Amino acid sequence: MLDLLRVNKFFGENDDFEVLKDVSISAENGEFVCILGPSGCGKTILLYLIAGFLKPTEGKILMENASISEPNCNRMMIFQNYVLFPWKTVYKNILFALDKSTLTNSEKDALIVRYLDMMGLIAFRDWYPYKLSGGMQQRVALARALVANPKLLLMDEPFAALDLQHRKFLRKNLETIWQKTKKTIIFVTHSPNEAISLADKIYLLSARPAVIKKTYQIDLPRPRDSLNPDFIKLNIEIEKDLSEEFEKAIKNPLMEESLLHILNLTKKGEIL
Amino acid sequence: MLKMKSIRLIRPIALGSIPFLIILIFWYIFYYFNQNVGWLFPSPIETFSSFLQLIVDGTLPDLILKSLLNLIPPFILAMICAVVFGTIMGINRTIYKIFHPILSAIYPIPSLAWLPFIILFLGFTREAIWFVIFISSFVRIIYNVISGVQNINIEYVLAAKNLGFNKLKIVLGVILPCAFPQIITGLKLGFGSAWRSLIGAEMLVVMLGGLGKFIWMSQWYFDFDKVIVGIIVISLISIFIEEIIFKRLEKNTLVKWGFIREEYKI
Ligand SMILES: Nc1ncnc2c1ncn2[C@@H]1O[C@H](COP(=O)(O)OP(=O)(O)OP(=O)(O)O)[C@@H](O)[C@H]1O
Ligand SMILES: [Mg+2]
Repeated sequence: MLDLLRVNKFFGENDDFEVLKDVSISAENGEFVCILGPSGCGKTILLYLIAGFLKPTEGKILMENASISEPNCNRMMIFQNYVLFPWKTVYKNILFALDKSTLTNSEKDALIVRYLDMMGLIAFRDWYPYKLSGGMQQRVALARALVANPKLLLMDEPFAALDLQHRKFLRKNLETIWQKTKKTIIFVTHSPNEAISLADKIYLLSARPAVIKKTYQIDLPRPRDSLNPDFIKLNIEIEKDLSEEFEKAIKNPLMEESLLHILNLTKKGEIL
Repeated sequence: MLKMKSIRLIRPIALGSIPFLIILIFWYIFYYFNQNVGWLFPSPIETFSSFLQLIVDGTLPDLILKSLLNLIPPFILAMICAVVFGTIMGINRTIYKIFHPILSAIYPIPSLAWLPFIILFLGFTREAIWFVIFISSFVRIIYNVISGVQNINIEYVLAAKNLGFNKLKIVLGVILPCAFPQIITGLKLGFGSAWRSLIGAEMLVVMLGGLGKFIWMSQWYFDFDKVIVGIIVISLISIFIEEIIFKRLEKNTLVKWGFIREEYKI
């Protein structure tokens, strides 16, 4: 369904800032793929490439064996920072996603109300986004993407801003939607636990420049139980791999020294 | 409850009146110490009564109407042209590169400097005034539209492209609302500069004159009370339009969308 073939993405005037290097990823039809990686390694950029917002410096991105050129509502991006349109109410933001749909107006309305209900947002349908909390905005963004009914969902840390209960609730909903609709999902997260709960396959990216460090095939039965010993074993393994990459990304062995220095300065009243 | 509300309404008006009161007091003091020198400088009271009289005898309404007729058509045309063309320039880098230098060249020219030149072609006509006002508001609006469009958060455009919008819908439905705060600023600045050019142009093309001609002629007849009335009327109309049109526009857009957050202090 989706194939990234040795994709490179470099920034800078001379392409000298390497972000993604030789990244090959594939997703089967209906597969749930998670991308794990330390902050700043290029996960968002990777999704932007798949969405068609950016072109790879080298390499190919194929969806259903056709090269990706422009953004398209078959591949729907859910942004890390929601990107709701401030001048549209919650309801109208979601309606925006049905712009091209052939449904009648009352069918559209019924569909939107369903999604609002599912996301627990029905009371806020006529609110403008700025009045909503971050988590609520994320749920609107989620509803907006789902209502467009894409084949491929690109989700950039979608549950990071939510509390644990919401996160669990929406995870379960997403899993159900995915199982029922057979959508393909590329899901970026920084939580190994979340990745193991959801994914068929996990790609672990290294620190920038990101290469695929490891691929895990997750065959645990669904619904997954995070107290299952296999789950826990996997979690420990992935967390260890991720920590290694995190330390590389931070690259500051003198962290402690800096901290002491800061505390010293603070005591002297040199900084507040 | 009702009392609270009326206080909230009156407070800004009361606060805003303070500088005017101070000016009024200084005006009166100045008048008081100069009244025996044989000056023609009018007192606030004389000015006010001449203001009332000019309203009653129909002079002021007629002048205002004439000035608005000189002002509104070219301003509206400038607004439309600047928004359309500024949006195109903000989006397309090639068009920006072609036209930006000439805009920069026109920008510092005081709009009245066009008048002698344009009178050559159009004579002392209303079209000549219209041209000056058009130029003066157009450049101010378009500068703001361009930078408003160039500074939008690109993620909104990406999201819209993702939803499958065509170019026109992205421009009308996403880019313009995003750029709206700066477009409104442009309209305000453009309107202010249109007024200033209007008064200047009316002083020079007197046969079509409204308030500008009135101020100019009153000065020749040493009717300084009328000069002051003319100035005050210009201010009043501007305040009126600011409060009625622009404030309401902001309330229905920027405040409603959360671009202006009145619940927080800076
Ligand atoms: N336009 C750009 N020019 C240069 N560098 C860029 C540009 N956009 C992104 N980058 C760099 O690419 C790298 C990856 O950015 P990206 O946003 O994909 O990180 P991320 O993995 O999503 O991080 P996070 O988990 O914090 O969201 C960063 O080092 C960033 O500085
Ligand atoms: Mg990111």
